[in-house]
Amino acid sequence: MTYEKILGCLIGGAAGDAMGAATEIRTREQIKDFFGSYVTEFLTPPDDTFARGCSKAQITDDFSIAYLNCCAIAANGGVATEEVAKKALIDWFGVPEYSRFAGPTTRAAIEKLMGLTAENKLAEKFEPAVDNAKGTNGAAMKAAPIALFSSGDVDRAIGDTVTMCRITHNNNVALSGACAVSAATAAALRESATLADVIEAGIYGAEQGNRMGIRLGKEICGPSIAKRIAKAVELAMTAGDMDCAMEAIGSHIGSGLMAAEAVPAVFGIVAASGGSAVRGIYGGVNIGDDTDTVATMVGGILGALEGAGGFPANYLEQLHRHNHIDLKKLADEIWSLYHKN
Amino acid sequence: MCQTMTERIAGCLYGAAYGDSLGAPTENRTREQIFAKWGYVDKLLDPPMDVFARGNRAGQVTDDFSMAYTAIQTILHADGRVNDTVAKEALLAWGSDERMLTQFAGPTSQRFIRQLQGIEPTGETRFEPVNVNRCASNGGAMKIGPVACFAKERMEDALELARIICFPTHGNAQAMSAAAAVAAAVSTALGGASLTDILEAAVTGAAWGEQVGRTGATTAGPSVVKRLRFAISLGLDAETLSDAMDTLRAYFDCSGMAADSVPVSFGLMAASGGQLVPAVAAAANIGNDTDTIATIIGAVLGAHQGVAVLPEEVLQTIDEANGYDLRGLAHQIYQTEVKLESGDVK
Repeated sequence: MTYEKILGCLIGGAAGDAMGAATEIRTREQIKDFFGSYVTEFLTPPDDTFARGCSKAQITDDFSIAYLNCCAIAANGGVATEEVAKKALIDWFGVPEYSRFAGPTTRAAIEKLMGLTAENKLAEKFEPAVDNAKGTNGAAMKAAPIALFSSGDVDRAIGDTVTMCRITHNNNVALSGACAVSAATAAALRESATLADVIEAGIYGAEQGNRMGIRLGKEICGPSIAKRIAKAVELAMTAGDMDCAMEAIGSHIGSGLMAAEAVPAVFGIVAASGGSAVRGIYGGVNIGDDTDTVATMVGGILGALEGAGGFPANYLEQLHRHNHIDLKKLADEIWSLYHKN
Repeated sequence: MCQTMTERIAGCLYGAAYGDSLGAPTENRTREQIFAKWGYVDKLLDPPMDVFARGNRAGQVTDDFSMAYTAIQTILHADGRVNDTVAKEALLAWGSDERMLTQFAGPTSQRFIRQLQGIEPTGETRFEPVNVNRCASNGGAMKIGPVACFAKERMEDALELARIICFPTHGNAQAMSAAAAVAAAVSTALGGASLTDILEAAVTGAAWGEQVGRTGATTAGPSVVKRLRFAISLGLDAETLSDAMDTLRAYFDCSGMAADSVPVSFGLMAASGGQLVPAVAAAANIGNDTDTIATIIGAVLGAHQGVAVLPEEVLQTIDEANGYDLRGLAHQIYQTEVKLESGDVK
């Protein structure tokens, strides 16, 4: 693990989220039509998308939750606990520019956590025995930076991810997606890591996350994220270039809200990136549908692999100017915790 | 066995209704959870109280078949005319049953019916994102099979009928593609074609529907055509139906999305060799949106094998539990000359 890699993971996660905020919801074709070409810079999100009203380079829910999670873990000496997860979530919900983005699963969990759900609302709403709508990418979107406290230990990253994500996404499908992303990031943080190591760790993380989700949380229906990662990687490897890979991944796998779409899509793009974080982020930003989430995950993983040096210098400067975050300070804290432990 | 057209139409109706009611109790659970609760479900059961079909009894249908049934009644009432007005009348007639609407309607249909009823404002204050990607659902595909029987063995008519009936609620690439796949498969089956021809027709129909859907609302999502091909190949490749269930559910979400449950339906049909009874049971046990997958399979393979493939006892249970006479209805469909009035479908 190096300081460069820690900062790279944070810049990649923030940059993917902020750049994808402008293209979210649209199809690949609509992105090209609306913006004139693929989006490869920070743009102000249009008014017909979820991030309407944000300035350019502003992050949304994806990275803001991840950031506050990391701040809370760092403040706890690098140890992830359920209490830390709750604190981070409530802190996050207290910032209006963040909480407006809360997805259905996250919002419901926070309101329950804060005791805001009225009794009659609880009684009225029919909840099926198995709620398959909860297998979303809401855990995976915040998972990459959790691996920064693992010192490159894949199993530690998986365990921490389950701890941090269970309070909102306590099911095998969402946790499988989240552990795939954090395991891949942990592997990417190792100094000798290759793209193949990262993908292999992702598949391992998906399998472990699924198992732990079944054991510790609710078992819901959903495809095998591990198998679909392998399929997405195969599509990417046979596609030739990033553009063909995006087309193949988008039409065979999808890149939407559900963990079983977005997370395999991430690994397909990672495989097609050749290890370049910026190229990977561009792939995620332009693949269509849940672009900011796909791009934030790709950016987190590949930023850890390539290090901060892989990004244009103005990324960090723009991200700092348009958000209330300090990625350098956070990276410093994580780096010094790594040396202490 | 030589089937008459009426027997095939009756097979489609009973097959769909049977699939819907067989899957109603198992919906939402995983394959493992279904097995732990009931064993392998191949008989009609009362749904438990923790599923969408709570309050139904064994053999009773849900939204999947009842929407098709109401659409058929509306078309018969209009002397075989199928147009945009008929499509909307059918939705309103179905939505007039408040229990059906609140307990069963999917998000896409419910919102549209509320708008037709004038209850939900068409929304100036509400934020409307550029696309509503969750509308790429299986709600058109689930109901179109039995309705497509009006077109008999004429695939082009079946596709046009699917467009008129499904476009108002499901006019996007994925949902229309999935609905057209089912309509094409049913009409091909009614013509007495082989399973291979039926599967091929589904892919052709899906490609047609994707183009038609693109003229409507844009939705980001995977390609039903490509995923249909993949699911069929997995189904054909599997050694047993049980293996096919596991492979299909590993690669596909058996969910309410068009690009998931509809490919899975055809994958199971491919794995079953075209046998309705085991294929519908596989759908009821695969987990998640079991009733819709079973409805689609029942419609297509019922048309393929004819009504005689289902035990008389099952047919009676279905008619009694729902107050239907599906044999009589099949005869009426057979005798009706459908008039497709495309006009400007919106």
